[in-house]
Amino acid sequence: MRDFEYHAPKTLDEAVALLERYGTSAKLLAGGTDLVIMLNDHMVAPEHVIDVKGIPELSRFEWNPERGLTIGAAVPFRKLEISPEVQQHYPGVYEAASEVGSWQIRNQATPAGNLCTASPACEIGPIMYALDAQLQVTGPRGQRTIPIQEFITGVRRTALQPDELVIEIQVPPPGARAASHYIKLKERQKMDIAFVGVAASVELEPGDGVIRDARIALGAVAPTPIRAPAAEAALRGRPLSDDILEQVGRVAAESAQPIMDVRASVAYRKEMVSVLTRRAVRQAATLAAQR
Amino acid sequence: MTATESAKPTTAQTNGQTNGQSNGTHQIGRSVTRIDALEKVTGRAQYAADLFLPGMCYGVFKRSPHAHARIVSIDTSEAEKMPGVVAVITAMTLSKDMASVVEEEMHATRKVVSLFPNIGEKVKYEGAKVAAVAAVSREIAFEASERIKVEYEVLPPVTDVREAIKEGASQINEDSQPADALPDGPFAGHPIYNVAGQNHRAEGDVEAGFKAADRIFEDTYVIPRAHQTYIEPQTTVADCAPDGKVNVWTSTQGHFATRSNLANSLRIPASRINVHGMTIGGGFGAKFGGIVDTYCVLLAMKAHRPVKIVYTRAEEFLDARPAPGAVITVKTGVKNDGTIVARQAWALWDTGSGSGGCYATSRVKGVYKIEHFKLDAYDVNTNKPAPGAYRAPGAPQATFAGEAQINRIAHELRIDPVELRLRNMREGEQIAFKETLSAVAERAGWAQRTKGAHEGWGVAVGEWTNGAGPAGALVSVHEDGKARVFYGLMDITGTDTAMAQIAAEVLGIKYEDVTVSRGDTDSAPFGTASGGSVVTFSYGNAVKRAAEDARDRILELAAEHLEASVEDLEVSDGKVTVKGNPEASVTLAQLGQMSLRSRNGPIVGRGSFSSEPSATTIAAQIARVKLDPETGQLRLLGAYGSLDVGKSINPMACEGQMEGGLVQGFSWGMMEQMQWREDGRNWNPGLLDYRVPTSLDFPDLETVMVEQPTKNGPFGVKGIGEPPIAPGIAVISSAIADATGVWINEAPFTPERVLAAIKSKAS
Repeated sequence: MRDFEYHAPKTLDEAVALLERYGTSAKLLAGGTDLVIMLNDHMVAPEHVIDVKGIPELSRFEWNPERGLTIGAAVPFRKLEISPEVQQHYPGVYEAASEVGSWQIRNQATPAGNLCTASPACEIGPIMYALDAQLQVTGPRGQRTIPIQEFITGVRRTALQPDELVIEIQVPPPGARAASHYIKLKERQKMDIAFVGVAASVELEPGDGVIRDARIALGAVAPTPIRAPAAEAALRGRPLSDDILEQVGRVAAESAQPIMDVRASVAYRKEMVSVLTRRAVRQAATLAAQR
Repeated sequence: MTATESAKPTTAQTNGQTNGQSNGTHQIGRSVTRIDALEKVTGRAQYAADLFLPGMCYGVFKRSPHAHARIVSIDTSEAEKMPGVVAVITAMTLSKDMASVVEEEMHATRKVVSLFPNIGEKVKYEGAKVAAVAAVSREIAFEASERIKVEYEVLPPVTDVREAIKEGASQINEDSQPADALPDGPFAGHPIYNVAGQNHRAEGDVEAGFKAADRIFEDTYVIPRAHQTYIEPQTTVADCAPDGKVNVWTSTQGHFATRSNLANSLRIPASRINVHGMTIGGGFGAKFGGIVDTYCVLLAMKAHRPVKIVYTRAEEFLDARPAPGAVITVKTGVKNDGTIVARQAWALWDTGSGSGGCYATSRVKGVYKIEHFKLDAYDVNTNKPAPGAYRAPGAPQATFAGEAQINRIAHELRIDPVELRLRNMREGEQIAFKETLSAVAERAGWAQRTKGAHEGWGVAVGEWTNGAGPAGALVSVHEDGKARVFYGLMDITGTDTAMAQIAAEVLGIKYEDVTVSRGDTDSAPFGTASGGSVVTFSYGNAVKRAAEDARDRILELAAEHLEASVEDLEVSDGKVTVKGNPEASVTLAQLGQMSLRSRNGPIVGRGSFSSEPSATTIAAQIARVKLDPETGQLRLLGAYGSLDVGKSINPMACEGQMEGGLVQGFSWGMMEQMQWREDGRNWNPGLLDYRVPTSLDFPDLETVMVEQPTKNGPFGVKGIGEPPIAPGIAVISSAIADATGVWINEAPFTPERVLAAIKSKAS
């Protein structure tokens, strides 16, 4: 790790001023579980590191039936995992959060930091796509809101400018009969990277099992998490059945553009998209029916 | 029971054993708390990386980015100019007679390889060392290493042994001659290229044996290279004094082995080298020196300052000494009743740029009576790092081939795989093969086993015979009546605890009243390195003899004091008593004080041991798995192990060995594999993609000890550190076969491979 100057701003204005001054020579530090590894491995060598954990706004973590869930940029995964509101209203977020690293890592790492790292395999990406989350960011030109799908632009690339920082993630409230689920395919029970991740958010029509709306997002099968619009369309207005799930899985697999790497082949990943999509949709629909 | 009595083996379930209290007499057979527990859990144990010397610098390596290339030029001038750089070494800076490193490894031949390739010579794997830099900070050293310019002529790499043996494949070691073609087997009829070692053995007449067989089975098994993944990376600190004295603090399984390596490599007398063996964070066979220590000393000599080198985890995967891989074909002839009549094996061991694998092929024979046996095995060079020992070196690979096929034979003949083994197992003095297998079968409920959908059971055994090596020990009894053990033992598994128990047992005192100290190589009597399951067997004998020597002095002093003859005395509970007269006694503390004024002085017992043969032990294991039929993911539902330990000194430590070995073996079957890209570069040089299991991947492990004493081990001890890793891959493969009906012969059995097997059965 090369030497750098460490800054710990206490306000958003101070942080923005530091970013404005140092721009590309600075890196933001929240949990540090990605950044410190990149520093040690000489993947990045910033002259300035700006630790945002001391900024009070960034530790906001609130649930509100109208506005939904607000996850400040410095809020660690463990807070999501143990939150009764998250478990009740966003079971998919609970699943994704609890799949990240180890208990110790989850006490440190933050969802916002993970989204900024923008690894194709990150657990929190697909579920945020499936829940239509957005990010509130700020910088010298003021605040702006970026929908999650526009935020992640490529492998380890985001729409965040070098002088901007994320304030919070905003997740809309789920519909009356809606629920979500996330499944990560891995080789090891815990502390593994996703070979494939699938998130589904399903809303049922009032009173019956017909699917009003569904959003399906896939991880680790494209440069960014991606939605599977054809699979979503195949679900809308139909009751859940094995045949529909079979079709939805197949269509979702067609949306995937996985690569072959040290973890798995293209064919296996595509097939797993199909299996996991079926399972995630079924579980989300089951949970939605119980609401 | 004593070691010399022939006795029926006894079994004991070790789970949940809380026999931690002294019963006042016996100190062996107690699950005492480890002697180093407190210093380890409180972080006070000193590992090599914990050492900081005044003026200490940091060493970093310049490594080849290519798997196979010839060095055209090396320019270190920019690195040398950097402020803070204190030493740069390459092949050119070393005098010819110092430019070699001896890598002495357990169970392998002693190898001499050059420290660095010179101009015109080759790098043979990605990450091979080309130069080393020392600087006042690690960051400056790293920066300087980046500024060393190396020009390469890139050569085509070979990563698969089946390709490397073919004519026309890149020749990795240019002086290697092709081996003669074999008359039979999977690679018959062609000379074998890139051969780095050979092993041929024939017993009986396999041709005749196969003719006499009712059924013949032939299968090829592929085992990947595995890294020992010790938690503490290779680490050394070295300092060279102006008078030429070299001090080395290092993470090693044998500081005397490290000393002799350094003396041979650097051509300096052993008497000028003092090696301090620091607390070790795991070795599993990979820490016998040569990987960093030699370079560290050379940098310190040149810098005239202490130098520390700590490997990164990536360096561990690129340039340490992982286990060899293997491709093993096994042909077995059996009678319809399951009697094995003949077995033949052909093996190619992936030994990277080095050698040391093919010697283990004989383990394909296993623990069975087989009249006709033949093997032809080769170490084959590929563009990967040289191999090192990994817990029972070569046994997991060869045992997978031998035992997986035994399971397939049992399945085809419709004979229970436990029963088939019992019918064929060797019997004899000091061994307990059948008892050990039966013990685990009973523990797992094998005979009554049931299975749900996509579930399967697997079983296998692995054999091992501990080695022995020279060791000396001193046991002294001080004026407080307590004993001190002093020797040169590197404790890698809890053996200091066992040695304290042995000394306590002999002296009739409590384990808690014994301390243990390890000397550096200048102070301790010689001691063999901790590998080959030698320690409790060899040092145990040395410590026992030293304690007996001390006891003789105690009895001599007591006899004088109590005016009794030595034959009438007994030592127990910290005192010497006249038999039948409990009033006539003297404590060890009193005797310790008397000794200071006695004619022969303080009580110091000496014990030495060289080498005596042990007896073969086996580990038998059973697994129960459940598969996800849509993803191929495997879940272990049950894991059971048994082991013939000879005699348990510390049941908790024996249990730890049974469990640790089982986990490493199963894990090699479930997930561990080093992978290389087509261009020869390492594909998973880190713990993200080289998976080792966490505790959540295993159910509670259930273990059973069998005690069939050996004649030469202290109290009947057999060396047990290594054998429990041997059966694992075969256990998992047969559990998957039981669940799916498909035999997967390439390890590890990843979800993708398991799913492919399930689908092949369905179609």
